[in-house]
Amino acid sequence: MTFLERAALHQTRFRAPGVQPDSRGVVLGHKGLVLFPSLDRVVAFFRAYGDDGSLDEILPSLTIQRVISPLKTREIIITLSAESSYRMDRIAAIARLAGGDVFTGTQRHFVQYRDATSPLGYDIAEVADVRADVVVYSQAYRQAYNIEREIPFRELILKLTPYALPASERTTASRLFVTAETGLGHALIGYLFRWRVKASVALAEWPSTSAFDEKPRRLHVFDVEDVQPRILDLLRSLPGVCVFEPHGGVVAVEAGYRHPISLDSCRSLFPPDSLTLFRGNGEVIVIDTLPPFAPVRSLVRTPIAIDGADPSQHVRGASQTNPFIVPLRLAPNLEPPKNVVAIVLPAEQRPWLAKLLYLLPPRALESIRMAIGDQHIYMLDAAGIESVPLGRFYSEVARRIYVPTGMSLVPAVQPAVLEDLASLGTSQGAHVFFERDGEPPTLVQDSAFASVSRAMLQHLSGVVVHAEMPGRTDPPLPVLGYGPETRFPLWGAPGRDTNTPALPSGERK
Amino acid sequence: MSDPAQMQLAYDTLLGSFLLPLLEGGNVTVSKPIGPGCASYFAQTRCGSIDTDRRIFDALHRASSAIANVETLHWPSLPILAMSAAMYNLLCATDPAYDRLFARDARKTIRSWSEGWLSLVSTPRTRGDALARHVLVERFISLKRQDLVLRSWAYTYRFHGRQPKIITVPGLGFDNPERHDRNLDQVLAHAASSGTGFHLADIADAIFHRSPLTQLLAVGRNQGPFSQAPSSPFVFSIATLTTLSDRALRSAVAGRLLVQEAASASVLGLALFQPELLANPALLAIAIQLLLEMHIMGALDRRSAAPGRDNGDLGFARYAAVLVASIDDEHAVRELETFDDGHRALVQRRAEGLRQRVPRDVLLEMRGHLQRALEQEPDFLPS
Repeated sequence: MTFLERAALHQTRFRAPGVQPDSRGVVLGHKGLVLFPSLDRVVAFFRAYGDDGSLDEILPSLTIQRVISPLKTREIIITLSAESSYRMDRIAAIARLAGGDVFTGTQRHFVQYRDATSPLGYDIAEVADVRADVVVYSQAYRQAYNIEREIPFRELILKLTPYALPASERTTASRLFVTAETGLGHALIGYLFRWRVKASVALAEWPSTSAFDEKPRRLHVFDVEDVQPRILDLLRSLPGVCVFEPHGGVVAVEAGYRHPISLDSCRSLFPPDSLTLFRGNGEVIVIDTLPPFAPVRSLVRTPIAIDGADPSQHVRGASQTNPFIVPLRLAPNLEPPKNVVAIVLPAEQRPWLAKLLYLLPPRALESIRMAIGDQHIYMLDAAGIESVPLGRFYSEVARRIYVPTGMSLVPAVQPAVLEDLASLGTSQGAHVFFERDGEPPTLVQDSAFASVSRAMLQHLSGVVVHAEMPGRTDPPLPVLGYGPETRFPLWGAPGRDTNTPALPSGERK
Repeated sequence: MSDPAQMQLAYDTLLGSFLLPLLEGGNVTVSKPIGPGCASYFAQTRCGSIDTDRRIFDALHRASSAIANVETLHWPSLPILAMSAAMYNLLCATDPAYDRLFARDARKTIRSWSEGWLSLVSTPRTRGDALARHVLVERFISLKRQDLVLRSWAYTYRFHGRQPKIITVPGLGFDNPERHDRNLDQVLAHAASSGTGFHLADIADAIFHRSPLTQLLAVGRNQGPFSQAPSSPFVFSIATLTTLSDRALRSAVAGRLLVQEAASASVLGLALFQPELLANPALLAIAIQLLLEMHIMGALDRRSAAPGRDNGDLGFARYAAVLVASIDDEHAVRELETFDDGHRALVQRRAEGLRQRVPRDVLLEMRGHLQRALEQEPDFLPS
């Protein structure tokens, strides 16, 4: 049984409602319809169409609908304005490649679009009298469908997860978007300014989607240009920082990933005053109204003391009767922390420290030295003490002189001067901790510090058992020995036939 | 053509009696030499014992990983097999039993066979290949032979690398057996000083030069591992530069050469201005990378001052000039910018310490070479 008839040349009357021949004689309705069995085929169709041309030209009339047949099977239809047989030819070619069937029609009844069997298209043999939203007529079947729901194309785009690119295909664009959590934003501003990266920054804010969040979500968005590879590698490796490569000015995909559908070909989906960022893990950040961007040089924190001395005062020479004395002060700095070798934690955190000691690796226990005071516990590790997540970190700014990490002593005198100043007021061998600005530093004698493994553990006693050292891992030296003596040593030696070895094809490399 | 069963037996013997104990330690036994006509068979066969293959792979991989990070090694591989066969034949030829009549001429044949095997070994193609060769050659050089001398009032018996065939009874002579452990160099010298006077050290030296990594790691030593081989100054060959172009191997070499930095620096500095290197900036860049990496590792990892050396040593002056010229040129080592201030200060401090030991003409010359090398290799220390 066939449901279609081939259209003839110059045929003007058709049983299929709403179709007519175009200038080439091809049967064409106002709409084209593509029927796909599943959503992944739809995605494949858009990927292929977007790679080959622009999706923007079909987006204005495009609808994607999930339909259901009387037998309750669900399929996907795409309807779009047919416009001309040239466009429909291209759509049909790509749709068939992606596993879809192509139809044309105007309202409810859609007849199969032309193919190689019938170059001018088809007409319906008999119009079906069924109550359905869409009826499609193919050579092999006739099917009625009811529309279940519509799938907006933008929603489809946002739900697709970008896939990781192989290393060989990765490129670096000259312009990049970088997002940073609010805690990292100012540090990143300082970093980009210090390395003279051409960048501007905005603070994006939108209400939280979770009822458990008390604050709106905030994110620093950087627009950087001509960034050096080493800086890019650093940014990529930082937790809380994400690098995006833009596709057009309003949409970007995380660096190293590619969206399944060519975003360049469907820019009209994204409003011009917004920014849509696709993370590699599938998260999509939509900044609906783009906040204003400002250059990073305008936002670098500059220390200004309004209450400071008037610079216009006359300078006088220093004299013994009127000495010029400046106290050492603690001031925050923007430099990355270094020489973090000390921790001061309050005495009330002592139980926490005791629990932590059970978890620390042997190397840390071996190298950490500890002094226990009435109010504070002081810990030192010359190799770095970041592995202890308690208390407040201190950096060593000069020998045995410590300031809280992120702070520095001002005026910024040489470390040797600090050491001299510290040695004047203290006995030799004391550690100096500047804990609060404006207060005198705390001195802890070096003799008060002891190794954790010796000072804290109780005396060991146990049962002596017999044990031996495990075998050496280094192999012993080889010893040369000769086999049995033979009168004619080369008799029976293999491989003596040829002196110039010729390797066969497929040789062992 | 040789019988395939005979060649398979030779292959199994080479792996089971020679290569495996060489790598794992123990008694290495050599008996019947192996001709290079077996190469095409060896290239396609597998060892009869899976356990032997696995243990050789384990030993190679374990020793290689101690030098540099390596994912896996290609085993069995023809270069390793060919080098093993050349070593095996060389050791066969050191057997004093070959001094006998009718056996003396065999040494010439065995020597040509070793050369035939070595002709199959070209420049290493992978990091694993370079590391495996080094492991093999290093174990080969560490070979020793136990010689035993038994004396009575009438006779003296000498057993070189063999168990004594006579029974020693206390009180009946042979009470004080003399045992000598001879290293490979002494074994080769012993073979050369025997009745035939046949020299084998040049073959041993050729085996040594098939491992560029071993050559590089031996740079600071006074002479090569074989005293009888003709001594020649170290040069950056294509094989050594190919090895150094691998970053992991370059770091491993730099780290080990720093142990005896002063001696290594002098040799490397002299080799840096060899004409073949200056004619090709791409090759020069690799050599400079090694020297620069030594400087930076010396400054950052060891945190030590620059080594002391007389101003008259031209090699050391060139070595020092690499760092001074690189620091002077803002664009030479862009990665220095990524160092934090403390680390950069250490490198600069080292450069300033070396500056006074670099003659002006050497520095100017080095700047010119550095510029040419930079055009070929803009990223000296890829981050």
